[in-house]
Amino acid sequence: MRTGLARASVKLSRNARVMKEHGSGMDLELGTVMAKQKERTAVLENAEVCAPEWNDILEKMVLIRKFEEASEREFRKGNIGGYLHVYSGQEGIVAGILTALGSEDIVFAGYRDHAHALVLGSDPKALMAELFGKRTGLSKGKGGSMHLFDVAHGLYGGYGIVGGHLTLATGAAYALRYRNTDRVAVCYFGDGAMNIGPFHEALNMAGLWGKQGMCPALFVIENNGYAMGTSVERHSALTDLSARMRAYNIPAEKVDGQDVFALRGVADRVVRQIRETGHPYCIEAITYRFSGHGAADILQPYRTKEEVEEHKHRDPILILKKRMKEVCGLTDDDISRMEKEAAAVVAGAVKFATESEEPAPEELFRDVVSGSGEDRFHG
Amino acid sequence: MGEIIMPKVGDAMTEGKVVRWYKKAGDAVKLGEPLLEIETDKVNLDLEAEEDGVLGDLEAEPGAVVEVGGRLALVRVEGEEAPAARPAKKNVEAPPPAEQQSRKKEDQATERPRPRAVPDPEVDSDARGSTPSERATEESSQKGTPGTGRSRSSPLARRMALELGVELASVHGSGPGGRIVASDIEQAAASDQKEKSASPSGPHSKTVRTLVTPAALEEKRIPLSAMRRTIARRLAESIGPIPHFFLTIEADVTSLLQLRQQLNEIQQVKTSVNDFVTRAAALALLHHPMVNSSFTDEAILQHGEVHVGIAVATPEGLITPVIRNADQRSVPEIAAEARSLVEKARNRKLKPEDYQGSTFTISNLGMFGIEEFTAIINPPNSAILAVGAARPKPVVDGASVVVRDRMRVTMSCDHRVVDGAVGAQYLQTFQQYLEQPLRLLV
Amino acid sequence: MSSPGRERIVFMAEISYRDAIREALVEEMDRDENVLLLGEDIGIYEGTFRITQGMLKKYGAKRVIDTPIAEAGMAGTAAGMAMLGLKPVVEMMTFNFAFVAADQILNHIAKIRYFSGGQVDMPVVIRGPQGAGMQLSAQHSQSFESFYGHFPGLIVAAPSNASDAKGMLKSAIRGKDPVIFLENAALYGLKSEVPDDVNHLVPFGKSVVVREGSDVTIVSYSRMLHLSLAAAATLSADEGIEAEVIDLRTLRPLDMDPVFESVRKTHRAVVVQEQWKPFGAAAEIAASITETVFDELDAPVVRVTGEDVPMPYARNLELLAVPHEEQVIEAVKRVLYRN
Repeated sequence: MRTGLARASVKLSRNARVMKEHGSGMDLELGTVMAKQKERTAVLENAEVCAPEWNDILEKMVLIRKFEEASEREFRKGNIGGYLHVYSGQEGIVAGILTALGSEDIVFAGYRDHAHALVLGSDPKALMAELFGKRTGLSKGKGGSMHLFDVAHGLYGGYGIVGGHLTLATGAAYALRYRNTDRVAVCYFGDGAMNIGPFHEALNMAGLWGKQGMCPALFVIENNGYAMGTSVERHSALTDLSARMRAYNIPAEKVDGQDVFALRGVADRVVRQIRETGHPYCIEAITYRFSGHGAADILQPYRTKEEVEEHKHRDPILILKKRMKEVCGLTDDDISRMEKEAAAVVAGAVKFATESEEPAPEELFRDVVSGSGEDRFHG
Repeated sequence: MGEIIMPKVGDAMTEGKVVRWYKKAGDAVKLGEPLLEIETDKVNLDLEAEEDGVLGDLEAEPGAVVEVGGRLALVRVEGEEAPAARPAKKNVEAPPPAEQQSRKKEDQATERPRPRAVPDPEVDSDARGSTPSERATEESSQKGTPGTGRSRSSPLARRMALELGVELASVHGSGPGGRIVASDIEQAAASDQKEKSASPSGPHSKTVRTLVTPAALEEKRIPLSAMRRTIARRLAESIGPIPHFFLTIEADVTSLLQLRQQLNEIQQVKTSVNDFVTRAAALALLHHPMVNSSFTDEAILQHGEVHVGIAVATPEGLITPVIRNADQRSVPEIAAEARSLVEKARNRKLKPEDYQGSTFTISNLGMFGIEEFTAIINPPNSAILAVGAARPKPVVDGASVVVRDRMRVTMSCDHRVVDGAVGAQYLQTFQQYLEQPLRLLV
Repeated sequence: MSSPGRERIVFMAEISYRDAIREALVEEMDRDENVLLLGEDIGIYEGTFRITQGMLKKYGAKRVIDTPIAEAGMAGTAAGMAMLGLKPVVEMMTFNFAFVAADQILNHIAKIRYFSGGQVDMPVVIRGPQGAGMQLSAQHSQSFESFYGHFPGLIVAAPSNASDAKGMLKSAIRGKDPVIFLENAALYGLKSEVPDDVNHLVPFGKSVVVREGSDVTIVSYSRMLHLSLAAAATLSADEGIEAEVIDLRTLRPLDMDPVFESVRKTHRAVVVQEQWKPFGAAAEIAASITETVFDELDAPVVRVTGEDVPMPYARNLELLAVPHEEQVIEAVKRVLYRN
């Protein structure tokens, strides 16, 4: 596998200079990972790669990309409010891991959560309607982009407080075992979530409960190199994030997050292992986000355009397409058809969201608590 | 064909300003080429062409403020027809005054009022008297001086004043800083009441009204409200342990006297007018249980039974033997009981149970020819009836003057328990019973 | 012993506030295997206030979880458990430690039902003592009812007696919503009658009149209720003032109707709380009275609260910092214009 990550080709700009001064361990980290991974990837036989499932995986990834492009467009138009964080560039991490799950398994995510919902099977229409704040949205328009919930498809939430949901996933994993099931809880979080208090509390408890086989959790670090605008080198005293997981008695391995084959291979193995042992495991997926941190992150002073362009050579969708073309005879026509279909689905979702009604005013007081849901102060 | 719109590039951004165009209409543009510079509240940035094509008309001039989503220009892909002109979405470039105004209105409607940084003289002058220094002055003077400033009053006092028709300005406030409080209004209302009850035109009705059978009495404890306690204290302080007031009513007893005569013709035990009066008083108490109660320091004790004491003059002095459950006894029964008690009283044979436990008392001096008098309440009763002699009097009946038997009755009330209106209503009911004497026999 | 055809007789047992809480936990754990406990030193150590005595032995380590000292972890994992159908009861050794879990409680537990559009229940009970009076000084003597009471999505209970403590805790465990269950360490030993009934449930959002009176309304809850009752007794004996005393029992939802009804009768109100005055529960209650029954008031609503200082350690200073019976009496006289 070739990489286009040679730093030398990146022109020094003001931003790049900043980064040079502060250092960037990302590439070094990734280089090592990829070297190790070569053999692992080979584990996936060509026949497996060409199984119909991979067509679905590619379709999902294309759908995510189109969906995210549309949500950015709709945000620019003012149809989507609040904060918007898109997954472009990181698609492989959800497509490679979540497709390894059983239908009963559950997922917790951060606020960059559209992709998780799409891969788990949420209706893109309901998802877009949620972003539009419409009554037909996944959470009736009450959660928005950062709080996607689709319990029927195993999505137990996107959460807006960095690192706040790690405890939830740990407790949920305990509950799955407590109730004598073999279900697994997957918890996604960014590299930026690893420096906040609850991260430590949650992971320590997960490692502790894992010793009794009471924490069937897969922790996935979406290591895109930046905590918002602060690079891993600048936010984590130890840049080997996997090593930090091992400090909590949670085995962890780094995987090239742009290589869906590699991810899927690891995921198949570790999900099975977690299911059997009830002990947590961590995949550190090294990835890159193509868009800004949020839709308002226009200037991106923490990285150069060149850096972003460079990483676009390692677009997980491109890599998967290429491989499937080489190995399985996927044609450009197939790809073009796939993209048109995804675009149509997304256009349908936007149309649906646009035409849907806003939540009824009564909805304001529902779901605050159970029952009638009305919990209002007197007076 | 691509639309160049004012993009939302900040989470709270609603509009942006066009700074300058790098291209003019008709220029060929390439993907990624900067077209114009925009300014937001946070940053200035270039908008780039999202595809190759030809730039159409520039729909927003430099300096124009355009809402998010508003069109700035079109980029036609080669081969495309020039589109029909379409107004930019919510393009507020150089808005005409009217539009500007309506926009302003919209802003006002959606924006919350901002905290005032500078004191508003109008509002502040309205709030006069509430500045700390003024408050201090007012508090230290301990008097609300009507005329020079606004008199203070509690919300309850204001409401009561309205309900009781008390002129707030005429009331002296006893609270801090001269605040008029509930007790002040109560006092003012009470003195009004006294004036009214003292006037000759007391509550007096000749219309025969149907008396609804009252509900059964029950014993209950009515806690003394602060108001009630204050009335009690203040009135007692002014006119003795029991603050009395007096209500007089005149009843037409013509029918009653006739009925009594008929009854005495068929009954062995002779009935007196007072026996009828006793029954009427007892029945009226069922309608007005507040009159059938006792004042204690803790509470007003409303009695569950009606025991009527009858004042009997003896050589030793006055004693009031009690006709128990007078409301449940017939007139002849009352007559028999009364006769026996009077007998005992005169022979000093009364036992404590014979004269204790009354809930109401009647004093009748009619046999002495007294037409009207006032009696002193027999504690712990809250009221006593002073019954005068029945006398034939000329009465105006329509156009003519007729002679009717009339009897005046004065009730003394304990103002701590019985208010003027309550006493008046009681007497009205009592009067109706006397004037419809058949009711006393059924 | 009930004979057929007759109503079931419920015996009353006099037990302490502490035992009432313990009984509630035991009964609910026996009733529903989805109920489990999390807390620091609640298992082997048996709890700092001995609420969970014998529980580990009875229910095992899977149901009585000794957690690390990690309040955010405890609260957050409990939330995850609740989302998956368990009914966790978290013991905060004292509520002072729960600040560490504030994000988990306020930003997650209180809101997940809402932002999920009602897709999950959140039956998490977080219980433990709060309040002053044991020379625990600044970091361990605080009261939190207004802190939690501010947030929609939570139920905030503050029982004043054993019967309410048991009945409300059982309601909390059987419910579907997060309950902040504020106990008071000074009340743990207080004995009172509790119905000997496994279904003794006290609902949330029901304030009760615990002493009738006609002159003034005293509103309180938890430990301060006892102070209010003592003041009411003194006022009655010494001044002939009859105070009506109301126990709010739940701060959220807040049942103000009995308060309004009482003020319509007495026209005066005093609110007593242990916590600091600014932005406290008493401020909410006083404002609510003013908004709703303004025209009934014959005097401003007066608050009796703790002093606005971090809790000092020295006993004499600590006593000065918490509300006293005399202050309640003073406040009552003030609203009655008796001083």
